Amino acid sequence: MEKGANKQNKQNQLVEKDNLLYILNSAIKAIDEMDIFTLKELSNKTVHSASIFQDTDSISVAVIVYSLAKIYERSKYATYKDWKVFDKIVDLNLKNAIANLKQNNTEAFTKNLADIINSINGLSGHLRSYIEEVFRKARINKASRLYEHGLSFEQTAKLLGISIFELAEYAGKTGIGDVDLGVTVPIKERIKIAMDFFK
Amino acid sequence: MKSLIFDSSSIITLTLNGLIDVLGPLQKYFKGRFFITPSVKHEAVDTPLRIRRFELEALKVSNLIKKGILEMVQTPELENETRKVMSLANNLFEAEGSKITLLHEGESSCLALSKILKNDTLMVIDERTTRMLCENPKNLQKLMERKLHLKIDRDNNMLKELEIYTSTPIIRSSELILVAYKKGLISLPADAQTAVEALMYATKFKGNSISYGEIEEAKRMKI
Repeated sequence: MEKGANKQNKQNQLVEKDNLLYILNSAIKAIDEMDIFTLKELSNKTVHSASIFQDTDSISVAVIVYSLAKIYERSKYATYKDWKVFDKIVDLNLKNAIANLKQNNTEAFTKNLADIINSINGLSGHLRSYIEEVFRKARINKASRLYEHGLSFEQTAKLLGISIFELAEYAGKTGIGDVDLGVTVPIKERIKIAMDFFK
Repeated sequence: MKSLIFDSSSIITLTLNGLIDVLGPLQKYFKGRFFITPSVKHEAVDTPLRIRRFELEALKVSNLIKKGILEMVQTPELENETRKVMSLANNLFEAEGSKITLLHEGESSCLALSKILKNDTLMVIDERTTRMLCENPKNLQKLMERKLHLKIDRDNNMLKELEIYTSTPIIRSSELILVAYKKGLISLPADAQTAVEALMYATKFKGNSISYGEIEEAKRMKI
């Protein structure tokens, strides 16, 4: 039984590694070609494994790629003085992340991802605050996607490092509450339960 | 004595809508007890206290705890039962050979507390996953299969064991606020139908998992 589970785990890791490599390679290409649509699409391709395996690397890649789509679509950002520094850090760390993942150097891979997010610390002025905000919103967006996939509020908030307040505000504006399968008790019955309880 | 258990999602919906203060008059009317767990306090007070945007909301909830309107339960039994719920709920579904971690401590602690309090208890839960897990776990499984595009396996033994924690009826902030309105604890310059609509949509847009269809149906009822 345990052997079977280990085998399945290894298989999952290999599939996930291939998926992450595909996403990162495609992200570099999309940035080069300024293909923002593809970049946004790519960010959704990690939600699947992030929901099941809940590994921090898949979650980080989802947040980073989504953020990069939002950042690179704003041509105004390229006019700020620190832009070239940011652009270089992103490019270098995406390439290093691919190389490290190929060599199964997971520690260095995780560090490359962290370095992209932490690159904000080296920026100044408006660009820093804009990019900081993009990464924050990306975490909320991805949290909402995991919640949509069936994880609870708290579990997703914990995985993405956000507060439930932020998730609640965002999720309330999505169609998550309108999915037919989510209506588990008729509202008339639920209102009756509440009214009877307070009689 | 009757008890109401609040999870963090319902408290957050009420707080974000400026409706949390209705809990005081509602409790006086109700003559029962309103409970939260330490993990819920952590999510609804301690964490937002560090975020400027939600600091006021956190203080409002903290005030209700200070006044004893929201009572915090903290016992070794609750801790034990919470661990059991987490172990059952987070081993219930499996995909691609991996168990799916569904719930965190706060949600699990509410289910655990409902088992301890047993009779005359309701849970107030706005988030969808815990509610679906309690009321229709098969629907939750289907929803995950639909979203993930793969087969999800369910451990029926876990599900059976989980039942003692998931049998307490659930309402949401929307139904609770409807009761408060019906009892005259919320006053709005509108007819009943408009007021019901405004209150229920307000909860929806702050994270309560209630559908448009449900709200429209509630509006048609004579509240």
